[in-house]
Amino acid sequence: MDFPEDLFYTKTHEWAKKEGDNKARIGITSHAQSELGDVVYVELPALDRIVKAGGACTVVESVKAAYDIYAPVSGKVIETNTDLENNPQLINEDPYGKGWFFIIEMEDPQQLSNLLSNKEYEKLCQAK
Amino acid sequence: MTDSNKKTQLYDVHLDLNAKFVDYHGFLMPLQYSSIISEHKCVRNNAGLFDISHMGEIVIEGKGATELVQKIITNDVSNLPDYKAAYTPICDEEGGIIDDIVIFKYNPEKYMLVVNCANTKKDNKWINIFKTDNVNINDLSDQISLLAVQGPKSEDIMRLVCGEECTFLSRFQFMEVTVGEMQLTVSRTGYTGEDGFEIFVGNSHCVDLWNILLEKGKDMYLKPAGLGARDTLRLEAGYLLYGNDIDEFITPLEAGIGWTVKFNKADFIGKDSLLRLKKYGLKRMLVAFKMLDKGIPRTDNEITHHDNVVGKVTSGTFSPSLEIGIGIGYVLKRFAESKDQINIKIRDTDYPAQIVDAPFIT
Repeated sequence: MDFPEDLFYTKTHEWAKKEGDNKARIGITSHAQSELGDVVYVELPALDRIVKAGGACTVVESVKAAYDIYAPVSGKVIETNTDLENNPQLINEDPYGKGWFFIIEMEDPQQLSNLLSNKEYEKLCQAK
Repeated sequence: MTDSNKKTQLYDVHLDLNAKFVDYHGFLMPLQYSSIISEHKCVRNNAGLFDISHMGEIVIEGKGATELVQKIITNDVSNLPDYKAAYTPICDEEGGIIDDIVIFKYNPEKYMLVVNCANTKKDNKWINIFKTDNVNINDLSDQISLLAVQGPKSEDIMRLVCGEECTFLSRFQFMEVTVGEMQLTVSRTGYTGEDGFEIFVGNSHCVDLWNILLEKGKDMYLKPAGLGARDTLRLEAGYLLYGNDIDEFITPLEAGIGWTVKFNKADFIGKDSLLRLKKYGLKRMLVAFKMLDKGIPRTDNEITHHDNVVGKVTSGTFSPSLEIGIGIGYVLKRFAESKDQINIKIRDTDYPAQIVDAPFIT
Protein backbone atom coordinates (compact mmCIF):
# COMPACT_ATOMS: atom_id res chain seq x y z
CA MET A 1 0.00 0.00 0.00
CA ASP A 2 1.15 3.46 -0.93
CA PHE A 3 1.13 6.53 1.42
CA PRO A 4 2.78 9.51 -0.33
CA GLU A 5 4.63 11.83 2.05
CA ASP A 6 3.48 15.13 0.53
CA LEU A 7 -0.22 14.50 1.26
CA PHE A 8 -2.46 15.13 4.26
CA TYR A 9 -4.88 12.38 5.24
CA THR A 10 -8.22 12.05 7.02
CA LYS A 11 -9.51 9.27 9.24
CA THR A 12 -12.25 8.81 6.65
CA HIS A 13 -9.63 7.93 3.98
CA GLU A 14 -9.49 11.08 1.87
CA TRP A 15 -6.23 12.81 0.96
CA ALA A 16 -5.53 16.52 0.43
CA LYS A 17 -2.58 18.01 -1.43
CA LYS A 18 -1.71 21.65 -0.92
CA GLU A 19 -1.34 23.55 -4.19
CA GLY A 20 -0.29 27.20 -4.20
CA ASP A 21 -1.15 29.25 -1.12
CA ASN A 22 -4.74 28.35 -0.53
CA LYS A 23 -5.80 25.50 -2.78
CA ALA A 24 -6.09 21.81 -2.00
CA ARG A 25 -6.55 18.94 -4.40
CA ILE A 26 -8.73 16.15 -2.92
CA GLY A 27 -9.04 12.43 -3.58
CA ILE A 28 -9.36 9.11 -1.77
CA THR A 29 -6.48 6.96 -0.64
CA SER A 30 -5.18 3.79 -2.21
CA HIS A 31 -6.36 1.93 0.89
CA ALA A 32 -9.88 3.36 0.41
CA GLN A 33 -10.14 2.41 -3.28
CA SER A 34 -8.95 -1.09 -2.47
CA GLU A 35 -11.60 -1.46 0.25
CA LEU A 36 -14.35 -0.14 -2.07
CA GLY A 37 -13.50 -2.42 -4.97
CA ASP A 38 -14.39 -1.50 -8.56
CA VAL A 39 -15.66 2.09 -8.64
CA VAL A 40 -18.41 2.37 -11.24
CA TYR A 41 -19.92 5.82 -10.62
CA VAL A 42 -18.96 9.12 -8.99
CA GLU A 43 -21.23 12.03 -8.12
CA LEU A 44 -18.97 15.07 -7.78
CA PRO A 45 -19.98 18.33 -6.04
CA ALA A 46 -21.15 21.24 -8.18
CA LEU A 47 -18.65 23.98 -8.97
CA ASP A 48 -18.69 26.89 -6.49
CA ARG A 49 -20.28 24.72 -3.83
CA ILE A 50 -19.17 25.66 -0.33
CA VAL A 51 -18.07 22.56 1.55
CA LYS A 52 -17.33 22.16 5.25
CA ALA A 53 -14.47 20.11 6.68
CA GLY A 54 -15.94 16.73 7.59
CA GLY A 55 -19.08 17.29 5.53
CA ALA A 56 -20.22 14.75 2.92
CA CYS A 57 -19.81 16.23 -0.56
CA THR A 58 -19.24 13.41 -3.05
CA VAL A 59 -20.73 9.97 -3.56
CA VAL A 60 -18.68 7.08 -4.88
CA GLU A 61 -20.43 3.91 -5.97
CA SER A 62 -18.77 0.54 -6.20
CA VAL A 63 -20.55 -2.51 -7.62
CA LYS A 64 -21.78 -3.32 -4.13
CA ALA A 65 -22.77 -0.02 -2.52
CA ALA A 66 -22.63 3.78 -2.39
CA TYR A 67 -20.22 5.61 -0.08
CA ASP A 68 -20.00 9.24 1.05
CA ILE A 69 -16.74 11.11 0.63
CA TYR A 70 -16.04 13.93 3.10
CA ALA A 71 -14.28 17.23 2.50
CA PRO A 72 -10.96 17.25 4.42
CA VAL A 73 -11.01 21.08 4.68
CA SER A 74 -13.59 23.86 4.35
CA GLY A 75 -13.84 26.07 1.30
CA LYS A 76 -15.22 26.47 -2.20
CA VAL A 77 -15.07 23.84 -4.94
CA ILE A 78 -13.33 25.54 -7.88
CA GLU A 79 -12.56 22.60 -10.14
CA THR A 80 -13.79 19.00 -10.49
CA ASN A 81 -12.27 16.04 -12.30
CA THR A 82 -14.73 15.57 -15.16
CA ASP A 83 -12.69 12.62 -16.49
CA LEU A 84 -14.20 10.57 -13.67
CA GLU A 85 -17.68 10.80 -15.19
CA ASN A 86 -16.80 8.43 -18.00
CA ASN A 87 -13.79 6.76 -16.42
CA PRO A 88 -14.57 6.18 -12.74
CA GLN A 89 -12.08 3.30 -12.72
CA LEU A 90 -9.31 5.95 -12.66
CA ILE A 91 -9.96 6.05 -8.90
CA ASN A 92 -8.89 2.40 -8.64
CA GLU A 93 -6.07 2.69 -11.13
CA ASP A 94 -4.44 5.92 -9.98
CA PRO A 95 -5.98 7.18 -6.71
CA TYR A 96 -3.28 9.81 -6.05
CA GLY A 97 -3.00 10.96 -9.68
CA LYS A 98 -5.63 10.78 -12.43
CA GLY A 99 -8.23 9.66 -9.88
CA TRP A 100 -8.38 13.03 -8.04
CA PHE A 101 -11.88 14.37 -7.23
CA PHE A 102 -11.90 18.16 -6.94
CA ILE A 103 -9.94 21.25 -5.91
CA ILE A 104 -11.00 23.38 -2.96
CA GLU A 105 -10.15 27.04 -2.47
CA MET A 106 -9.50 26.81 1.25
CA GLU A 107 -11.17 29.09 3.74
CA ASP A 108 -8.25 28.57 6.12
CA PRO A 109 -5.13 26.69 4.90
CA GLN A 110 -4.25 26.15 8.58
CA GLN A 111 -6.95 23.45 8.65
CA LEU A 112 -4.51 21.16 6.85
CA SER A 113 -2.51 20.89 10.07
CA ASN A 114 -5.53 19.18 11.70
CA LEU A 115 -5.14 16.28 9.27
CA LEU A 116 -2.98 13.16 9.57
CA SER A 117 0.55 12.74 8.21
CA ASN A 118 1.32 9.77 5.96
CA LYS A 119 2.91 7.94 8.93
CA GLU A 120 -0.13 8.53 11.15
CA TYR A 121 -2.50 7.45 8.40
CA GLU A 122 -0.49 4.32 7.64
CA LYS A 123 -0.72 3.37 11.31
CA LEU A 124 -4.48 3.87 11.22
CA CYS A 125 -4.81 1.54 8.22
CA GLN A 126 -2.68 -1.12 9.84
CA ALA A 127 -4.70 -0.99 13.06
CA LYS A 128 -7.80 -2.10 11.16
CA MET B 1 -17.33 -10.06 11.94
CA THR B 2 -17.18 -12.09 15.09
CA ASP B 3 -15.52 -15.31 16.14
CA SER B 4 -18.89 -16.99 16.16
CA ASN B 5 -18.99 -16.80 12.36
CA LYS B 6 -19.14 -20.14 10.66
CA LYS B 7 -16.36 -20.92 8.22
CA THR B 8 -16.43 -23.30 5.29
CA GLN B 9 -13.72 -25.95 4.77
CA LEU B 10 -12.11 -23.56 2.30
CA TYR B 11 -11.65 -20.60 4.67
CA ASP B 12 -7.83 -20.92 4.80
CA VAL B 13 -7.69 -21.43 1.05
CA HIS B 14 -9.65 -18.20 0.54
CA LEU B 15 -7.29 -16.43 2.94
CA ASP B 16 -4.29 -17.62 0.91
CA LEU B 17 -6.00 -16.30 -2.22
CA ASN B 18 -6.25 -12.86 -0.54
CA ALA B 19 -10.04 -12.91 -0.55
CA LYS B 20 -12.00 -10.07 0.97
CA PHE B 21 -14.56 -11.61 3.32
CA VAL B 22 -18.16 -10.78 4.09
CA ASP B 23 -20.41 -11.95 6.91
CA TYR B 24 -23.21 -13.64 4.99
CA HIS B 25 -25.93 -14.70 7.43
CA GLY B 26 -23.35 -15.86 9.94
CA PHE B 27 -20.97 -17.41 7.43
CA LEU B 28 -17.60 -15.84 6.74
CA MET B 29 -17.63 -16.05 2.94
CA PRO B 30 -15.33 -14.73 0.20
CA LEU B 31 -16.83 -11.54 -1.28
CA GLN B 32 -14.16 -11.18 -3.96
CA TYR B 33 -10.63 -12.36 -4.74
CA SER B 34 -9.53 -9.80 -7.33
CA SER B 35 -12.48 -7.64 -8.37
CA ILE B 36 -16.21 -8.26 -8.71
CA ILE B 37 -16.25 -7.04 -12.31
CA SER B 38 -13.32 -9.21 -13.44
CA GLU B 39 -14.73 -12.28 -11.68
CA HIS B 40 -18.16 -11.60 -13.20
CA LYS B 41 -16.68 -11.35 -16.71
CA CYS B 42 -14.59 -14.45 -16.12
CA VAL B 43 -17.81 -16.42 -15.48
CA ARG B 44 -19.56 -14.92 -18.52
CA ASN B 45 -16.58 -15.51 -20.84
CA ASN B 46 -14.81 -18.58 -19.44
CA ALA B 47 -15.58 -20.12 -16.07
CA GLY B 48 -15.61 -19.32 -12.37
CA LEU B 49 -15.29 -21.52 -9.29
CA PHE B 50 -17.49 -20.68 -6.30
CA ASP B 51 -17.46 -21.97 -2.74
CA ILE B 52 -21.14 -22.08 -1.86
CA SER B 53 -20.81 -24.48 1.06
CA HIS B 54 -22.96 -22.16 3.15
CA MET B 55 -26.02 -23.55 1.35
CA GLY B 56 -28.03 -26.01 3.45
CA GLU B 57 -28.85 -29.61 2.55
CA ILE B 58 -31.84 -31.38 4.08
CA VAL B 59 -32.48 -34.98 3.11
CA ILE B 60 -35.96 -36.51 3.28
CA GLU B 61 -36.05 -40.32 3.02
CA GLY B 62 -38.58 -43.08 3.46
CA LYS B 63 -41.80 -44.53 2.11
CA GLY B 64 -43.67 -41.29 2.75
CA ALA B 65 -41.01 -38.99 1.25
CA THR B 66 -42.90 -38.06 -1.92
CA GLU B 67 -46.12 -37.43 -0.01
CA LEU B 68 -44.37 -35.12 2.46
CA VAL B 69 -42.45 -33.27 -0.23
CA GLN B 70 -45.58 -32.76 -2.34
CA LYS B 71 -47.31 -31.27 0.69
CA ILE B 72 -44.60 -28.73 1.56
CA ILE B 73 -43.58 -27.51 -1.91
CA THR B 74 -45.74 -25.67 -4.43
CA ASN B 75 -44.14 -27.30 -7.48
CA ASP B 76 -45.02 -30.86 -8.51
CA VAL B 77 -42.31 -33.53 -8.41
CA SER B 78 -44.61 -36.54 -8.81
CA ASN B 79 -43.75 -36.89 -12.48
CA LEU B 80 -40.18 -35.62 -12.16
CA PRO B 81 -37.77 -38.36 -13.32
CA ASP B 82 -35.30 -39.83 -10.83
CA TYR B 83 -32.01 -37.91 -10.72
CA LYS B 84 -33.63 -34.68 -11.75
CA ALA B 85 -33.92 -31.47 -9.70
CA ALA B 86 -36.52 -28.70 -9.69
CA TYR B 87 -36.77 -25.14 -8.41
CA THR B 88 -39.65 -24.54 -6.00
CA PRO B 89 -40.86 -22.29 -3.21
CA ILE B 90 -41.92 -23.64 0.17
CA CYS B 91 -44.93 -21.61 1.30
CA ASP B 92 -46.80 -21.09 4.54
CA GLU B 93 -50.60 -21.38 4.83
CA GLU B 94 -51.02 -17.79 3.58
CA GLY B 95 -48.88 -18.43 0.53
CA GLY B 96 -45.92 -16.45 1.93
CA ILE B 97 -42.56 -17.79 0.83
CA ILE B 98 -40.74 -19.58 3.66
CA ASP B 99 -37.85 -20.39 1.33
CA ASP B 100 -37.03 -20.95 -2.32
CA ILE B 101 -35.10 -24.15 -2.85
CA VAL B 102 -33.84 -26.64 -5.39
CA ILE B 103 -35.20 -30.10 -4.71
CA PHE B 104 -33.19 -33.11 -5.92
CA LYS B 105 -35.19 -36.28 -6.56
CA TYR B 106 -33.03 -39.42 -6.26
CA ASN B 107 -36.10 -41.65 -6.32
CA PRO B 108 -39.63 -41.43 -4.91
CA GLU B 109 -38.24 -42.35 -1.48
CA LYS B 110 -35.28 -39.99 -1.34
CA TYR B 111 -35.06 -36.23 -1.88
CA MET B 112 -32.41 -33.64 -1.05
CA LEU B 113 -33.52 -30.05 -0.48
CA VAL B 114 -30.85 -27.42 -1.14
CA VAL B 115 -31.91 -24.43 0.92
CA ASN B 116 -30.74 -20.89 1.64
CA CYS B 117 -28.24 -20.83 4.50
CA ALA B 118 -30.21 -18.26 6.48
CA ASN B 119 -33.26 -20.54 6.33
CA THR B 120 -31.80 -23.98 7.05
CA LYS B 121 -32.96 -24.16 10.67
CA LYS B 122 -36.33 -22.57 9.91
CA ASP B 123 -36.99 -24.95 7.01
CA ASN B 124 -35.99 -27.98 9.02
CA LYS B 125 -38.35 -26.99 11.83
CA TRP B 126 -41.17 -26.25 9.39
CA ILE B 127 -40.84 -29.53 7.52
CA ASN B 128 -40.75 -31.46 10.77
CA ILE B 129 -44.21 -30.14 11.67
CA PHE B 130 -45.58 -32.25 8.81
CA LYS B 131 -43.30 -35.25 9.33
CA THR B 132 -44.98 -38.64 9.27
CA ASP B 133 -43.68 -41.86 10.86
CA ASN B 134 -42.60 -43.28 7.51
CA VAL B 135 -39.97 -40.62 6.75
CA ASN B 136 -36.63 -39.49 8.15
CA ILE B 137 -35.54 -35.89 7.89
CA ASN B 138 -31.84 -35.12 8.23
CA ASP B 139 -30.09 -31.76 8.08
CA LEU B 140 -26.71 -32.63 6.54
CA SER B 141 -25.61 -29.02 6.02
CA ASP B 142 -22.65 -29.32 8.39
CA GLN B 143 -21.29 -32.41 6.61
CA ILE B 144 -21.66 -31.45 2.96
CA SER B 145 -19.65 -28.83 1.07
CA LEU B 146 -20.82 -27.39 -2.23
CA LEU B 147 -18.76 -26.00 -5.10
CA ALA B 148 -20.09 -24.43 -8.30
CA VAL B 149 -18.31 -24.36 -11.65
CA GLN B 150 -20.12 -21.84 -13.83
CA GLY B 151 -19.53 -20.43 -17.28
CA PRO B 152 -19.27 -21.49 -20.93
CA LYS B 153 -16.07 -23.47 -20.27
CA SER B 154 -17.52 -25.41 -17.35
CA GLU B 155 -18.40 -28.46 -19.44
CA ASP B 156 -14.81 -28.83 -20.65
CA ILE B 157 -13.53 -28.51 -17.09
CA MET B 158 -16.00 -31.07 -15.75
CA ARG B 159 -15.02 -33.51 -18.51
CA LEU B 160 -11.44 -33.36 -17.29
CA VAL B 161 -12.21 -33.58 -13.58
CA CYS B 162 -15.31 -35.75 -13.28
CA GLY B 163 -15.37 -37.64 -16.59
CA GLU B 164 -17.24 -37.57 -19.88
CA GLU B 165 -20.49 -38.79 -18.31
CA CYS B 166 -21.06 -35.50 -16.50
CA THR B 167 -21.19 -33.66 -19.78
CA PHE B 168 -24.25 -35.71 -20.80
CA LEU B 169 -26.29 -34.23 -17.95
CA SER B 170 -29.12 -31.99 -19.14
CA ARG B 171 -30.13 -28.84 -17.28
CA PHE B 172 -31.30 -29.75 -13.74
CA GLN B 173 -30.21 -33.39 -14.11
CA PHE B 174 -27.75 -34.83 -11.60
CA MET B 175 -25.67 -37.95 -11.00
CA GLU B 176 -23.43 -39.60 -8.45
CA VAL B 177 -19.85 -40.05 -9.52
CA THR B 178 -16.66 -41.33 -7.86
CA VAL B 179 -13.41 -39.50 -8.58
CA GLY B 180 -10.46 -41.13 -6.84
CA GLU B 181 -11.58 -41.42 -3.24
CA MET B 182 -14.22 -38.73 -3.60
CA GLN B 183 -17.93 -39.56 -3.73
CA LEU B 184 -19.54 -36.66 -5.55
CA THR B 185 -23.03 -35.62 -6.54
CA VAL B 186 -22.82 -33.52 -9.69
CA SER B 187 -25.77 -31.50 -10.99
CA ARG B 188 -26.18 -29.25 -13.98
CA THR B 189 -27.53 -26.33 -12.01
CA GLY B 190 -26.45 -22.85 -11.02
CA TYR B 191 -27.32 -19.30 -10.11
CA THR B 192 -25.45 -17.32 -12.77
CA GLY B 193 -27.45 -17.62 -15.98
CA GLU B 194 -24.58 -19.54 -17.58
CA ASP B 195 -24.16 -23.23 -18.28
CA GLY B 196 -22.68 -24.75 -15.14
CA PHE B 197 -22.42 -27.47 -12.56
CA GLU B 198 -22.75 -27.74 -8.82
CA ILE B 199 -20.77 -30.42 -6.99
CA PHE B 200 -21.72 -31.77 -3.57
CA VAL B 201 -18.75 -33.21 -1.72
CA GLY B 202 -18.15 -34.49 1.80
CA ASN B 203 -16.35 -31.90 3.93
CA SER B 204 -13.15 -33.93 4.16
CA HIS B 205 -12.59 -33.85 0.38
CA CYS B 206 -13.72 -30.31 -0.29
CA VAL B 207 -10.27 -28.68 -0.36
CA ASP B 208 -8.89 -31.45 -2.58
CA LEU B 209 -11.74 -31.02 -5.04
CA TRP B 210 -11.28 -27.23 -5.12
CA ASN B 211 -7.56 -27.62 -5.85
CA ILE B 212 -8.09 -30.25 -8.55
CA LEU B 213 -10.71 -28.08 -10.27
CA LEU B 214 -8.47 -25.00 -10.24
CA GLU B 215 -5.46 -26.98 -11.45
CA LYS B 216 -7.27 -28.79 -14.26
CA GLY B 217 -9.32 -25.74 -15.15
CA LYS B 218 -6.26 -23.52 -15.49
CA ASP B 219 -6.02 -23.87 -19.27
CA MET B 220 -9.71 -22.93 -19.54
CA TYR B 221 -9.05 -19.76 -17.49
CA LEU B 222 -11.05 -21.02 -14.51
CA LYS B 223 -10.71 -18.53 -11.64
CA PRO B 224 -12.19 -18.39 -8.16
CA ALA B 225 -15.22 -16.10 -7.93
CA GLY B 226 -16.83 -14.67 -4.79
CA LEU B 227 -20.30 -13.81 -3.55
CA GLY B 228 -20.02 -10.30 -5.05
CA ALA B 229 -19.89 -11.69 -8.59
CA ARG B 230 -22.47 -14.33 -7.67
CA ASP B 231 -24.89 -11.51 -6.84
CA THR B 232 -24.32 -9.44 -10.01
CA LEU B 233 -24.52 -12.61 -12.13
CA ARG B 234 -27.78 -13.80 -10.59
CA LEU B 235 -29.38 -10.37 -10.92
CA GLU B 236 -28.45 -10.12 -14.61
CA ALA B 237 -30.01 -13.57 -14.99
CA GLY B 238 -33.18 -12.34 -13.23
CA TYR B 239 -32.92 -14.82 -10.35
CA LEU B 240 -34.44 -13.90 -7.01
CA LEU B 241 -32.53 -13.63 -3.75
CA TYR B 242 -34.31 -14.75 -0.61
CA GLY B 243 -34.31 -12.02 2.02
CA ASN B 244 -34.08 -9.30 -0.64
CA ASP B 245 -36.63 -10.08 -3.33
CA ILE B 246 -38.78 -12.65 -1.58
CA ASP B 247 -39.70 -13.50 1.98
CA GLU B 248 -42.69 -14.58 4.04
CA PHE B 249 -44.56 -11.36 3.19
CA ILE B 250 -44.52 -12.17 -0.52
CA THR B 251 -46.20 -14.93 -2.53
CA PRO B 252 -44.76 -16.74 -5.58
CA LEU B 253 -47.51 -15.19 -7.71
CA GLU B 254 -46.36 -11.65 -6.94
CA ALA B 255 -42.71 -12.63 -7.31
CA GLY B 256 -43.17 -13.71 -10.92
CA ILE B 257 -42.56 -17.38 -10.18
CA GLY B 258 -46.18 -18.45 -10.52
CA TRP B 259 -44.95 -21.21 -12.88
CA THR B 260 -43.63 -23.03 -9.80
CA VAL B 261 -47.11 -23.22 -8.24
CA LYS B 262 -48.97 -26.25 -9.56
CA PHE B 263 -52.64 -25.81 -8.67
CA ASN B 264 -53.51 -29.06 -10.47
CA LYS B 265 -51.75 -31.26 -7.97
CA ALA B 266 -53.41 -32.49 -4.77
CA ASP B 267 -53.41 -30.35 -1.65
CA PHE B 268 -50.28 -28.47 -0.68
CA ILE B 269 -49.60 -25.87 1.97
CA GLY B 270 -50.67 -22.44 0.84
CA LYS B 271 -52.88 -23.70 -2.00
CA ASP B 272 -56.14 -22.15 -0.82
CA SER B 273 -54.60 -18.74 -0.19
CA LEU B 274 -52.75 -18.71 -3.50
CA LEU B 275 -55.88 -19.79 -5.38
CA ARG B 276 -57.84 -16.96 -3.81
CA LEU B 277 -55.08 -14.49 -4.69
CA LYS B 278 -55.02 -15.76 -8.25
CA LYS B 279 -58.79 -15.44 -8.54
CA TYR B 280 -59.13 -11.95 -7.04
CA GLY B 281 -55.96 -10.52 -8.51
CA LEU B 282 -52.64 -9.26 -7.26
CA LYS B 283 -51.94 -5.84 -5.83
CA ARG B 284 -48.24 -5.72 -6.71
CA MET B 285 -45.92 -7.50 -9.07
CA LEU B 286 -42.22 -7.95 -9.45
CA VAL B 287 -40.68 -6.10 -12.39
CA ALA B 288 -37.19 -5.86 -13.79
CA PHE B 289 -35.90 -2.46 -14.87
CA LYS B 290 -32.91 -0.96 -16.56
CA MET B 291 -31.65 2.56 -15.87
CA LEU B 292 -31.82 4.85 -18.89
CA ASP B 293 -28.89 6.95 -17.75
CA LYS B 294 -26.49 7.12 -14.82
CA GLY B 295 -27.47 6.15 -11.31
CA ILE B 296 -27.28 2.77 -9.64
CA PRO B 297 -30.44 1.44 -8.00
CA ARG B 298 -30.10 -0.10 -4.55
CA THR B 299 -32.32 -2.10 -2.22
CA ASP B 300 -35.11 0.05 -0.68
CA ASN B 301 -34.91 2.88 -3.24
CA GLU B 302 -38.41 4.13 -4.01
CA ILE B 303 -39.89 3.56 -7.47
CA THR B 304 -41.89 6.60 -8.58
CA HIS B 305 -44.16 7.61 -11.45
CA HIS B 306 -45.05 11.30 -11.89
CA ASP B 307 -44.00 12.02 -8.29
CA ASN B 308 -46.11 9.21 -6.86
CA VAL B 309 -44.41 6.35 -5.06
CA VAL B 310 -45.55 3.20 -6.86
CA GLY B 311 -43.08 0.64 -5.58
CA LYS B 312 -39.75 -0.26 -4.05
CA VAL B 313 -36.47 -1.72 -5.29
CA THR B 314 -35.56 -5.08 -3.74
CA SER B 315 -32.27 -5.69 -5.59
CA GLY B 316 -30.17 -3.31 -7.63
CA THR B 317 -26.64 -3.14 -8.89
CA PHE B 318 -24.32 -1.99 -11.62
CA SER B 319 -24.48 -4.60 -14.37
CA PRO B 320 -20.92 -5.47 -15.43
CA SER B 321 -22.21 -6.96 -18.70
CA LEU B 322 -24.48 -4.04 -19.71
CA GLU B 323 -22.41 -1.36 -17.94
CA ILE B 324 -25.54 0.32 -16.58
CA GLY B 325 -27.67 0.14 -13.44
CA ILE B 326 -30.22 -2.68 -13.30
CA GLY B 327 -32.66 -3.84 -10.67
CA ILE B 328 -35.83 -5.62 -9.69
CA GLY B 329 -38.58 -4.53 -7.36
CA TYR B 330 -42.28 -4.56 -6.68
CA VAL B 331 -44.67 -2.04 -8.20
CA LEU B 332 -48.44 -1.64 -8.18
CA LYS B 333 -49.83 -4.09 -10.70
CA ARG B 334 -51.12 -1.51 -13.18
CA PHE B 335 -47.60 -0.07 -13.56
CA ALA B 336 -46.10 -3.51 -14.04
CA GLU B 337 -48.49 -4.11 -16.91
CA SER B 338 -48.25 -0.69 -18.53
CA LYS B 339 -44.48 -0.90 -18.97
CA ASP B 340 -44.36 2.87 -18.72
CA GLN B 341 -41.18 4.66 -17.93
CA ILE B 342 -40.61 4.79 -14.18
CA ASN B 343 -38.16 6.62 -11.96
CA ILE B 344 -35.86 5.32 -9.28
CA LYS B 345 -35.32 7.71 -6.40
CA ILE B 346 -31.62 7.65 -5.60
CA ARG B 347 -30.42 10.10 -2.92
CA ASP B 348 -33.55 12.24 -3.36
CA THR B 349 -33.19 12.52 -7.12
CA ASP B 350 -35.39 10.75 -9.68
CA TYR B 351 -33.44 8.77 -12.27
CA PRO B 352 -35.39 7.44 -15.29
CA ALA B 353 -35.66 3.69 -15.80
CA GLN B 354 -37.49 1.39 -18.20
CA ILE B 355 -39.37 -1.74 -17.19
CA VAL B 356 -37.91 -4.65 -19.17
CA ASP B 357 -38.29 -8.42 -19.36
CA ALA B 358 -35.87 -10.45 -17.27
CA PRO B 359 -33.31 -11.90 -17.79
CA PHE B 360 -31.26 -8.83 -18.59
CA ILE B 361 -28.79 -10.91 -20.58
CA THR B 362 -29.40 -13.80 -22.94
